[in-house]
Amino acid sequence: MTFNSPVSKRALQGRVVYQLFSGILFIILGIIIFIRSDGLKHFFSAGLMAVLLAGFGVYRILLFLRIIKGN
Amino acid sequence: MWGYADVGADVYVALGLVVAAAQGAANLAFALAGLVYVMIGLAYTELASAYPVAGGGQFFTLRGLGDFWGFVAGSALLLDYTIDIALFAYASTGYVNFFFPSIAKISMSFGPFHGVNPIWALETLLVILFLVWINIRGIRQSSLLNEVLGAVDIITESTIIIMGFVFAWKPELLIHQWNTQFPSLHNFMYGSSLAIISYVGLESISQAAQETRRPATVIPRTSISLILTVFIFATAFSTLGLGVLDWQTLAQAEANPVAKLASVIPYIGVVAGPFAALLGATILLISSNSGVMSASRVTYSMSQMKLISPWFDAVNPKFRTPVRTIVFFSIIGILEAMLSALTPRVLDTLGNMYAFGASLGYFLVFISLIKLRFSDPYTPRPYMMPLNIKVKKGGETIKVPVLGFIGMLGVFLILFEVILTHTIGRIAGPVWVLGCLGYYIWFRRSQGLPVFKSIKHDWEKKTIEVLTSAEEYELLEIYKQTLKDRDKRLARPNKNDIQ
Repeated sequence: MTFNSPVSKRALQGRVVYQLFSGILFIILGIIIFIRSDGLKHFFSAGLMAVLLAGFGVYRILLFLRIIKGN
Repeated sequence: MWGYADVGADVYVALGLVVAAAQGAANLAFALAGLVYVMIGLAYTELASAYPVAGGGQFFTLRGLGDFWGFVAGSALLLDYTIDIALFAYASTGYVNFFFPSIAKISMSFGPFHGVNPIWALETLLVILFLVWINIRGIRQSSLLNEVLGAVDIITESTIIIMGFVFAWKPELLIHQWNTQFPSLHNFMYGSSLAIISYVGLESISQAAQETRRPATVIPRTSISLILTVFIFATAFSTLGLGVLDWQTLAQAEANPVAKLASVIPYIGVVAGPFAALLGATILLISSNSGVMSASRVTYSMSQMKLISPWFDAVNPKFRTPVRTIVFFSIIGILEAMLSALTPRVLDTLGNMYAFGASLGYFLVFISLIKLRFSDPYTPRPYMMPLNIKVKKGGETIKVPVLGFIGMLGVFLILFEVILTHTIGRIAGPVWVLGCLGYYIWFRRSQGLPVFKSIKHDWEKKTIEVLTSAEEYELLEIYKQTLKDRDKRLARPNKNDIQ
């Protein structure tokens, strides 16, 4: 019995790569925005958005880990 | 990628409108509306996976609160779908006009109406007529096309955000605008209630739950990711926009703000601007089409539940599509589009009307979610909103949704903002709902059906049918066992044994 066809494997790899890289990118972006805008001082205008972006990156990496564990 | 092509489009139209209202605090307006939206999204995820039927919010409300309120929610959502048709068709042609700036600049006066752009109105009319034609013929965009467009959109939006923040974003400009251009409370309330437009697609995609194979498995897995992605992109675009351009420039580019923003990013702007315009036009066209399709789905559901005449439910024998519904609600969409064309800011007028239907519909959905946790704890919920308090009632363990109550208050606040600040929506919205109620009372009386009470529905039988047709056999077994246990406990015969 074949559990994974070559097509589904490719799709899975693409999804995994996307989750990981987008996660890392959003975390880096959040940190850059936070530092450049002095996020603590200007929390509601910029810091909050930086935290949200970085948090989204963390979520994507958690999804990546879930996919890895599930396979 | 489930539904992203439907949901991800909304920021293309909302960005300019919200920035024009909430000015230097537009990103906070998006973030606050987005927090409420996340809760709405979680509520829809729970309900759509538990009750995967056409009708979406209208069906959830009917199931929770009965026929009358189900009709009220249905009429509010129908208002929004007709506005969807008009708003997104207008926005789609707005992005097309990015390539023809001379059309966007046309401004004429007709009697008391000033700043009218008849060419833009004509383009919109043609787009809606095209959508009517493809829907009558039953031509659907393939799921592959939706997947590809959704993926291209995510990649494009991510590229604009990343390149924009790295190469063009000036934090000092954002902070300067925040400090010196902070809106009045009235404008901020208007902006944050308009921001709900960027989160409209959820209702459309919950409508499609019945057409999704194994919805109880697919919906929770994909929709939470979708909700967060849309929320982050809306917040990121507004933060980027205010750090790259002054809010007045973005507000002036109300017809194609994302393309305007993309075009000023160094290195990629020359290509990114036109590409974002092309993508925006395409994806907004799909959103407008969702309005036509969702109006058909809601009227089908309402007709099945005897809330409206079966006349709406009829399928054309030649095309096998609900031609009457498509034509009827598209004509309303065209009327809304043409009447809005007489105002100087067309998109703002349509958005102004949209928010009333959305906030009223979502408010009723939240009440239904809470009510259904008490009245129907037996239907399997593959996904439940987080943060629940367990309460024992009549031998049953009820999970009271804390986040459901918070979300309900959040949506109520948006509804309050709409009534306070949306000068057109607060009149047109209630007039529409009252007009529909007049029809409902006439129809139910003419059929000898109760107006304020509900027709008796066999929900248990219906749930078994839905789970069977959705191929959710595991949930079906759980449901039957739960009913059996309940009947045993209450010492009554189990009718579902007779299968």
